[in-house]
Amino acid sequence: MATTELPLPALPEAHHEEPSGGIVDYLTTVDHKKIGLLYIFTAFAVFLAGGLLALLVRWELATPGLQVMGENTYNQVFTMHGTLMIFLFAAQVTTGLGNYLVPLQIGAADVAFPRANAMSYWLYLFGVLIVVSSFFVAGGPAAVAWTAYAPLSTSEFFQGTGMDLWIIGLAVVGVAGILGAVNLVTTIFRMRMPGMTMFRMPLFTWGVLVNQLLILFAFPPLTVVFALLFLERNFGAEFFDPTAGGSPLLYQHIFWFFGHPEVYIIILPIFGIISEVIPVFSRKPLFGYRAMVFAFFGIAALSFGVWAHHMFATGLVYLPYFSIMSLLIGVPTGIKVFNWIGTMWRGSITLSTAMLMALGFIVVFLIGGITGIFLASPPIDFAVNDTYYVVAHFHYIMVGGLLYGMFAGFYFWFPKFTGRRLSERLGRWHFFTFFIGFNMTFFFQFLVGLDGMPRRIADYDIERWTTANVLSTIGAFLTAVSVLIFLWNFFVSIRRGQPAGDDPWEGNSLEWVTSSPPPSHNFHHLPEVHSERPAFDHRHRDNPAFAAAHTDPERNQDRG
Amino acid sequence: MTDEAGILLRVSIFGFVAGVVYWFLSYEWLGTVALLLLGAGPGFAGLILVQEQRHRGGTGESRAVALRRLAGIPPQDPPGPEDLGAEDLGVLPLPTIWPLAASLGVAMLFTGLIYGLWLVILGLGLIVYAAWGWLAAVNRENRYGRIQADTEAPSPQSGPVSDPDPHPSSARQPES
Repeated sequence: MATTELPLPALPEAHHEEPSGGIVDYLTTVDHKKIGLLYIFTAFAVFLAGGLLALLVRWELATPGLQVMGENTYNQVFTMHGTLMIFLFAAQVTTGLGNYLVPLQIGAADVAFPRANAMSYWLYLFGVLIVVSSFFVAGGPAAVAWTAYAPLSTSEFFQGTGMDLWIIGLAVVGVAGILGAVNLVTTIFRMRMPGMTMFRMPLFTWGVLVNQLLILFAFPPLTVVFALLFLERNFGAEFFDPTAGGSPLLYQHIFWFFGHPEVYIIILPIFGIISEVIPVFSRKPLFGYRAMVFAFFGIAALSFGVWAHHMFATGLVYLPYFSIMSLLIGVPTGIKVFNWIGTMWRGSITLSTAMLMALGFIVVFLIGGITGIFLASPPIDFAVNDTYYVVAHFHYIMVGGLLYGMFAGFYFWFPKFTGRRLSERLGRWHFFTFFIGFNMTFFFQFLVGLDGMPRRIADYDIERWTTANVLSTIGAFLTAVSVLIFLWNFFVSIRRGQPAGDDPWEGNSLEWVTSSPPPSHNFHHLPEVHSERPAFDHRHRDNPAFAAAHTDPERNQDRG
Repeated sequence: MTDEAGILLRVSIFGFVAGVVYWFLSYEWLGTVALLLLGAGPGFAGLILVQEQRHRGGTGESRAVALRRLAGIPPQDPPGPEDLGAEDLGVLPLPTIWPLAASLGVAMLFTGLIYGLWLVILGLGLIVYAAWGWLAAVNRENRYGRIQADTEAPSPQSGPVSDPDPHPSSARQPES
């Protein structure tokens, strides 16, 4: 009989390692690192599927006329593209990264509820399978856009099992999200090692904390609205039918009360990743740590007050309130961008691929954010609502924000996950093809959008839109090439990549103190935590200059 | 008040204030209810944290620490890991199939709402069976500790890179 307790100061090597790699190990694992990797791989598979659907959309839209599919198929394709990307990829890949990294960053051996953590992954996987299975039922998958507005999505206008599978699958994913959020929030609140106060946590952990709190408060309304929709479709309820005293607006209100926080559920951990990558590759501490944390909470709180700016054009919401609240979100976001630039200012910058991705993130996220500020103004929103301007705007936020940050995170933490580096040469190819392809795809959509091209159409007969659409399609395929380069990089590097050692980038947070990949109990040795850069302190513990800098109250106050 | 509770209570205050302001601007009940609930949810969680901290006698941020922080004086460093008592040591659970089985049950239960009662019943059965197995496994681990099959033979190191011994630790061996 042996209990594997975790003697924190030191633990012998490799005696209690689980044999890893077999399929049974992954089916039965309760290790947060394996579960995190499962999340990431599943989400990335969903991303590839959603990307293929996006290519179909772009192919169809390249020129006027119907090329590859009929209009109903087109509706199904863009609906499933949005569903896969937003519900099943974007919110989940960051949960996976958080699952892997948060316990490492706070010096814990695992998450608070390891078995429930496994359950939330499996629920997510089954949810994905249920949604994807709708491709194989009679009538095909849902064709009502990812928002599934009632009454369009009610049985009166859209029959078929595909829609029901869509609702049920996403409800299961919603339950998984709530379970995972309880787990991660408890982990961050309760499992921090001694010395790791809240205001010494790495920014990525902060991002995940706020993101999971948002999930905790935003996913229940989503589950509720899906339950209402399901009851309406299958059991004769009439929540959204005005002739029976219901209201179609009810659906939009509840959906967007989830839907706008969802944007920040997706983007806040990415802010965290960027806030980890930039200080490391600028060789400086993060500028304005506390301001960054409070900006997280400012964004999170405001995101619950702006839902109806998606409903301006209904004419049934109070415009000034939502306009002002939406404009206000620009303030904490601006603080973040300012602080990232402040961190880089006079830093000793290394342009690694992770850093390039972070810089690309700032550029495209600024474009997305600034165009969003225009949309917060009701008169402009009335003009461009449901045009490609909106499509371009949220793709700059979602694709630009999420993917650049995600890839930055992959390049940054891949050595920690595997012990090997991703190839920097291929990484550069990846970055530049992605940057050019992405901007080509979406920038021209701003222009055709301002010219009035509506979204969610399979066909258009206005010749002057063709050039922009052809360029956009070429850009989309170039983006696909960049993703293929990344996949190639992944498969080459995981076998033959340069061994990275434990701390290839001279990182700041605790995950760089342990081995790569970390042992099943995470740490053989934990350093003392005296600042928000414990790994940095640990690396320079024998250097009197750094020790002095850390005990100097004024310096601490600056950083505090 | 701990930082954790402070965060939640601030979000809560925002929810209540935004809810009240929104009501008097728009008289739209649905958003008002949603915002007030946003005030109630984090507020409830935050008050539980405050209550719990009082219960424990304030091992979180004490008033003195809070005053130091507000005054801008750097906090005194808390005890390092070497001061940890044995009661703080964690136990990692064994691998288990029950979370997968329970999730499959939930998925069947939900899908059964489309395909019929038989699937709902199958799903419920699987959930009950998995919950039973899950709790039995937890009980077993709590009672007998974590039984390790291969404590004698060190298993090969996980991961693609074999790094013989990056941390030559003179640590104690596990009691087997």
